[in-house]
Amino acid sequence: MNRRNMECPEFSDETLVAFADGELADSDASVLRDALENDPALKKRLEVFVATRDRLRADFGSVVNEPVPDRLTELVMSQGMTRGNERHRRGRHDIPRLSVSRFAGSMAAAVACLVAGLGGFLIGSQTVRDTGSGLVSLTASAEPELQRLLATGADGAVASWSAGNHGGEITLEGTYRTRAGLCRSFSVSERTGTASRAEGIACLDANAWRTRMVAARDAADGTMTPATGAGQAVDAFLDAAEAGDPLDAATVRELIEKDWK
Amino acid sequence: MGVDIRLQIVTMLPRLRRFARSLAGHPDRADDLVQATCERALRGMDGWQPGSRLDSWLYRIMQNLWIDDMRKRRTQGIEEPVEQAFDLAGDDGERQVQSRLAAAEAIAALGRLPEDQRTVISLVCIEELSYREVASILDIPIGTVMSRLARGRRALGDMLGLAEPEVQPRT
Repeated sequence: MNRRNMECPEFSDETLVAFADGELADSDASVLRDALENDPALKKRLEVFVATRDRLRADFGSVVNEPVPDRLTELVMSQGMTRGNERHRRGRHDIPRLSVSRFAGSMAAAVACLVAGLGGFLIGSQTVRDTGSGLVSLTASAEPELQRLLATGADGAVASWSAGNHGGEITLEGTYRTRAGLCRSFSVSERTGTASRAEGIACLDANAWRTRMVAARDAADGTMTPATGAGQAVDAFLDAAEAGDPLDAATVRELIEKDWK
Repeated sequence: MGVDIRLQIVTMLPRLRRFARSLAGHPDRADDLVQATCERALRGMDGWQPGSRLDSWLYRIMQNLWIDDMRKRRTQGIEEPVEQAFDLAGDDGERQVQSRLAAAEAIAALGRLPEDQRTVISLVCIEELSYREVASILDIPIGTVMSRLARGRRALGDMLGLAEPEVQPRT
């Protein structure tokens, strides 16, 4: 920063913008913070940099909640893929998906996609942020009942969950053999609150069901759009895990009877 | 290319679309830019260093494609009616309409900035990248990032009525 002397520091716009963005070195930020307390004009100069950032962040924030066009998702997932993988996707779309109409959303859901415990299998070190959809608390609350259902429920089975004042339903959607072993897709809803809904995948790992991925849409405004974002995120996961067609009911029943061994 | 990378790119699509929207303005043109970016990335994954940030690499590809596209079109960026940028035809309430109008105003103002300032502002203010990350993506010094941010945001503040008129910029 430019300073004539310590009593009367003069700050460039570059210094102010770096301060507004939290990029100024601590020592310089401390000097500027002191100066701001006694200099209204300096404070006004700073405000424009804070206000422009806040305004743009707010105005463009909604873009990530818009449905991502199918052509983009399909391009990424299919370009250069083998015919076998394309056949797998068609196979899954041929079966009715219980969750699609209920878990309306967009591939913006992918932004709210919490990828849990992958251990480097799919996501590596990539961190995907939970955007405040209540996803973490929702799935954690439903976890005990989800575990029971994953171990003993047939595809299509529905169970209620409750935790404190919250409660809702879990539905098992499908069972697949994948590169990660046996995996089951599920959906979780909450009857009350901010219409939190999620759809996810759990895979068998050392005889225990681990939730590998959960996707939700941010439904804080209560609106529902006729897209299938969470479902697309699940499909994307299944594609990445090279899932085959969903197992038939008899095979799933046999696996349950043998305790998934 | 590994399917794991594809899934990472899919999860980044919403953010790529947002960056593209800030560059191109019109949603369709922005999505075309996202598509071109994905195609380029999928064809050239060997250009990505494993362990480095995939999103930064994609932003860089998009920025380069955008510059190429502008040169071909001989334009300075946003040329379509900005009212279309945020689907203003929606009828889902006064608050959302107002919010979209404000967004359209912001994207119009952003579109009037020089391209170099617009890109830096978008990556820092909208995509929330650090100065160091932006400097790396654009291959420019951090000092240049700061000067573009300062000039661009002061101009943006003037256009959006966020600046105090009596305050003079200092460099």
